[in-house]
Amino acid sequence: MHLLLHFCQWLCHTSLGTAIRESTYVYPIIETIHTLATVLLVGTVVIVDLRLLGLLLKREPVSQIAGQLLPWTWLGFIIMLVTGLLLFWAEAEKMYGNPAFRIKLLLLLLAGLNPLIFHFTIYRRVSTWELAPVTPTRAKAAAFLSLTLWSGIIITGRAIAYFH
Amino acid sequence: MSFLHLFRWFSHTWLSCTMRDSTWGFAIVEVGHLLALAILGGTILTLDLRLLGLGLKRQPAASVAQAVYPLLLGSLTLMVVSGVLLVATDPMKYYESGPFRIKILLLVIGIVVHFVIQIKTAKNKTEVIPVWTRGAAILSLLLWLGVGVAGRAIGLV
Amino acid sequence: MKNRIFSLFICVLLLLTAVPVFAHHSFSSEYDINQPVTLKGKLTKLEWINPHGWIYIDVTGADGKVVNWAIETGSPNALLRRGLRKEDFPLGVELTVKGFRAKNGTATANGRSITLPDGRELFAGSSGTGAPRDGADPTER
Repeated sequence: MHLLLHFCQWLCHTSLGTAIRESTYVYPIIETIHTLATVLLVGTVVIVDLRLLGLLLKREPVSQIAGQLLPWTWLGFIIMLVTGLLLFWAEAEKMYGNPAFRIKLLLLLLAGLNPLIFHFTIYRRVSTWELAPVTPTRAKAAAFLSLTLWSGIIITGRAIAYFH
Repeated sequence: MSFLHLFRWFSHTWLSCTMRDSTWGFAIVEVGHLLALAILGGTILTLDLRLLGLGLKRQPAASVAQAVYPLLLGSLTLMVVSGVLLVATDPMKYYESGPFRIKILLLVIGIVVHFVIQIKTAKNKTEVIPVWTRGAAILSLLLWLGVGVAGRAIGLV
Repeated sequence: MKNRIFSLFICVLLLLTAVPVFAHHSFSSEYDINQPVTLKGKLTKLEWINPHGWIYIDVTGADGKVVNWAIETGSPNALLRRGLRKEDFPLGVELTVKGFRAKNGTATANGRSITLPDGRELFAGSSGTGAPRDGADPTER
């Protein structure tokens, strides 16, 4: 998409994009926050997913585990989004052609759709199964997919640096 | 045997030579290190937040501690194993790295602090979290944040 | 049980899509320690940027042909720590760069050191990418 490429070229050459890209400390700091906030976002998701898979806190209601941890997940997501946007802003033209970045975005989209679908289907009846000895297969599938997608996002995120 | 001798010896092992010569080795191991980090961070965060009355508040602290313990042990093991393999790619570089030394120091202290509160909390049959435990939870979070920042700094300086 | 196997299969497939993206970066996967190069030429372009900088120089080969080489350096932070400044790189400045050639055979190299017109030889911060260290760079940690 030519239009998208032009937008990316324009974006990274704005004064903000250039300032971040040519900075001595700002870029490394933003990038460090982005890398470490992964722990807040993915770490909490992992706990919820493992609960859904019946691998920890099995006797605790799913809605309680999810309800109490997800605000922290959202905090992590906001930090990741802001730092990610700033990093993208500085390198938009390079990111446009970067295959790892493209795959990462696709996986992020799927990682967003997965809980959305989960929430509006099987999770609507959570009160009927949240204390059951075995979680419904669909909930487990969502959890498994979540773990896989987030792993893929971490992997492709790291791989971005490997393409010039 | 000093650390210098240890790292020098390590750089001559088969493991170090294999990692150093490998095209994919560093990249693959590093990814393992990052994935395990997400899990380790999640378990540390979950317990420390609980001790501060945040996160899984409605669950007894002892249950939370017991639940995350296997995950803590497993992910920490993976971190250490992958960490050793990463150092193997160039032991002397890491030996001389300021951030690496700081990271290991914070890591050792962090492990001690966190395991003390982990084990004490798992045994705590009451609903009361002692003040010292709360303080230790904050210390734990700070130490582990330090480990993360120092680790990232290795590649930046 | 069938559902589980199927979802496991899908997960593995998804993970595998990430594997091919790894053939690059980290020094050993991209640059060849057995192909050291010394390049002399005039600076045509400078990218003083994160996460890695790039300098481009026109090198005249033995056959008289001019090839434009791209040399990867460390970040602005890494370069500054090694005594290099952006002002050291006006376009057209004569530089000597020592480094290691890219494995893909293109006119690309990982810069190890840069010698400026005033004779100073400074390291290019390439150790951050996993480049080999020979103890010559005192700031290498």
